[in-house]
Amino acid sequence: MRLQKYVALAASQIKVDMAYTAWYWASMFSVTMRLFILYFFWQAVYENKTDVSGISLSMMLTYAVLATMLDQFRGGAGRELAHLIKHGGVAVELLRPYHLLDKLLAQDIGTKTSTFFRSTLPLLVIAMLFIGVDPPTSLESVFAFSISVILAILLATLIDLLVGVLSFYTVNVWGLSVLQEAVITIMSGAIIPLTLFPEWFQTISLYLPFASLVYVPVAIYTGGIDASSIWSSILIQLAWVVAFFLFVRLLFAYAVRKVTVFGG
Amino acid sequence: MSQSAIEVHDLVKHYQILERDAGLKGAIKALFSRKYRIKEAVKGIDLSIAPGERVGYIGFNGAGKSTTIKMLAGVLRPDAGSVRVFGIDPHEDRIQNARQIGAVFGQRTQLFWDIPVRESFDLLREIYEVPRSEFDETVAWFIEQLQLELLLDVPVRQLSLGQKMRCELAAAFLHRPRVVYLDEPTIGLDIDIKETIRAFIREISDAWGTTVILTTHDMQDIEEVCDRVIVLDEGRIIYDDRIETLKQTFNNERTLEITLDEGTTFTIPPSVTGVVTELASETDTIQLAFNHHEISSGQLIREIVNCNQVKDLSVVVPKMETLIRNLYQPEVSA
Repeated sequence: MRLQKYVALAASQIKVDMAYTAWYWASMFSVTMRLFILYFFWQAVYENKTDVSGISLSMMLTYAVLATMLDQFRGGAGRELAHLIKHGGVAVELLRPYHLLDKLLAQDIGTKTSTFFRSTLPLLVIAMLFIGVDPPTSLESVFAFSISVILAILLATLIDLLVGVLSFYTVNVWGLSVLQEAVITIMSGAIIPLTLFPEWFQTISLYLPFASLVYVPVAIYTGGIDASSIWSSILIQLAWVVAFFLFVRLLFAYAVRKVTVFGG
Repeated sequence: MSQSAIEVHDLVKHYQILERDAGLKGAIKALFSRKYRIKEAVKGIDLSIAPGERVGYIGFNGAGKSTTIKMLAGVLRPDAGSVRVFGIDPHEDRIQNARQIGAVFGQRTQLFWDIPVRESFDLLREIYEVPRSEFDETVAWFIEQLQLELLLDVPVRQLSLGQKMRCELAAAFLHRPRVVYLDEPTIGLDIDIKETIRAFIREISDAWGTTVILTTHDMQDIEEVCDRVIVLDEGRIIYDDRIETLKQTFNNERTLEITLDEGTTFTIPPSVTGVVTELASETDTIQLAFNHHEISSGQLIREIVNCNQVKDLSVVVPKMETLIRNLYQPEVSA
C-alpha cells in the first residue's frame, strides 16, 4: 500500500473543508454556546457546594470544556459511506484502486485535522480566557492524554464506519445513527463524567467501548483516572481500536459481495 | 495465441426485488413479512473482446447493459459465470483491476464535487500513481482535444453538463487504462459536444490501443466510434458482429416514399409486383420497401412514374437506428 495517495486525499479534504465558511462559523457559534451553557449550568450546581462526589468546580469545568472539544471529533466517515451507498456513488468508489475504508479514513483525518486547527484551538483559547481550564497535573499526563485523544478519535471514526457499513444491508441507516448518537452522547461521558452515574451504570460502561471515546482521555487529563491506571486504560482503548478496525474490515469485505447499485 | 482483453463465460446476475403492496397498509405489511421477487438481469452471456477493439453495447432500457458493465468493472459480483479482464477477475481482485480500467457512468460524477477540475485531475494522478511527466503530457493532450483550458479552475459543481462530461471523459483516460467502460457518455449533450467526445474516444483508443466498451441509445455514437456492435435484449445477446457486416446485411434495403396528386389512386406497375413491398400507407403517401440489389432505384422510379400521377418522391436509405430495430423484429425487414 502506498501511503502517498492517502495523504493526497487527506490534504484535498482539508481544502474542501476550507471552502465551506458559512458552515464553519455556524459550528463555531454552536460549540461556543454549548460551552457557555455548560459553564452556567455547573456554576448553578456548585453555588452552595465546594465539591460534587469529590470533584471541584474548576475540575468539573475543565472536564466539561475538554469533553465538549473532543465530542466535536465524533464520526463523519460513516455518514459519508452511508450517503455513498444510498445514492449509488459507491459504484464509482469501487472502481478506484484504493480500499474504500482507507480512503474514508484518510478524508476523515483531513477533516479532523482542519477541525483541530480551525475550531478546537480557537475555542480552547476562548475557554481558557472566559471559563478556565486547569493546567495539566504532570508532563506524563499531557503525553498520555495526547495518545489517548488520538485513540479516542480513531475509535469514534471506526464506530461510525461500522454503522455506515451496515447501510449496505439496510440502505437507510438514519434510525441506527440516531441511536448511535444518543448512546454515545450519554455513555461516552461527553456530557457529565461517568463517575457521577450510579455504580451499576459505571460497571456496564467498563465493558463497553464508549467510555474510551471521551471519558478516558479527559479523565486522564483532569486526574479522574489516577496515575497508576492511566496506561492500562490506554491499553483498553487500543484493544477497542484494533477490535473495531478488524470487525469493520471483515464486515465490509463481506458486504461488498452483496452490493446492489441503485439507479442504473 | 494472443490474450483477449475481456473474456466472459456464461455470465449471470439476478437481483432480489422487495415486493410491497401499495399504500400504508402495504408498507406495514412489509415490516413483518418480506416477499422477494427474483429478477434475472443477465441470463448467460459469452463475450470475447480483443485488445483495442471498440464495442458498442446496446439494448433497450433494462436489457442488462449497465449490469453487465458493472460486473466487467468489478463493482457487482456475478451470480454465476466468469469474467476476466486481461486475466484478472475484476470482482475478486477489484483493486488490482481498478488500475487498468477507466469508466464514465453517465449519471454519476467521478470527479471530486467541491474542488476545481485541475485539482481533481491531480488527485487522480496520486490515486492511480501516475508518474508526473507522463501525467503532464496526457493532460496537455486532453486539454487540446477536449478544449478544457477554460474549465480547469472551475469547481466541478459549477460546470454545465457538456463541460462536466468532457472533464469526466478526460478523468477516465488520465491513467492510460487498458480498458474503458463508457456508460451513456453522450446522454443529453448537444451535437457539437457529442462530436468532440466521439473524436476524442477514437483518437485516444487508436493512439494507446485502449479497448472501449460503449453503451448508448444514440446510434450515431456507435456508427462513428465502434467497430463492433453487440445487441442485448432481456439479458441475452441477440446480435454480435462487426459493424460493417451489420451494414452490409441491410445495405441494400431502401424505402421509396411517394406522394400522389390529390384525388388519384395508386397502382403498382405489374413489372415490379413481387419485388417491392407496400408498407403502411396513408391516402396520399405510399411507402414501398425494396431491395437495391433486386431493382435499382432509378428503374423502380421510372416504372412508378409511368403509371401514377406523382407529386413528390424520395428514396430513404436506412439509418443505423432502423438496422438495429430490424434486429429486434427480423420479420419486418424480410
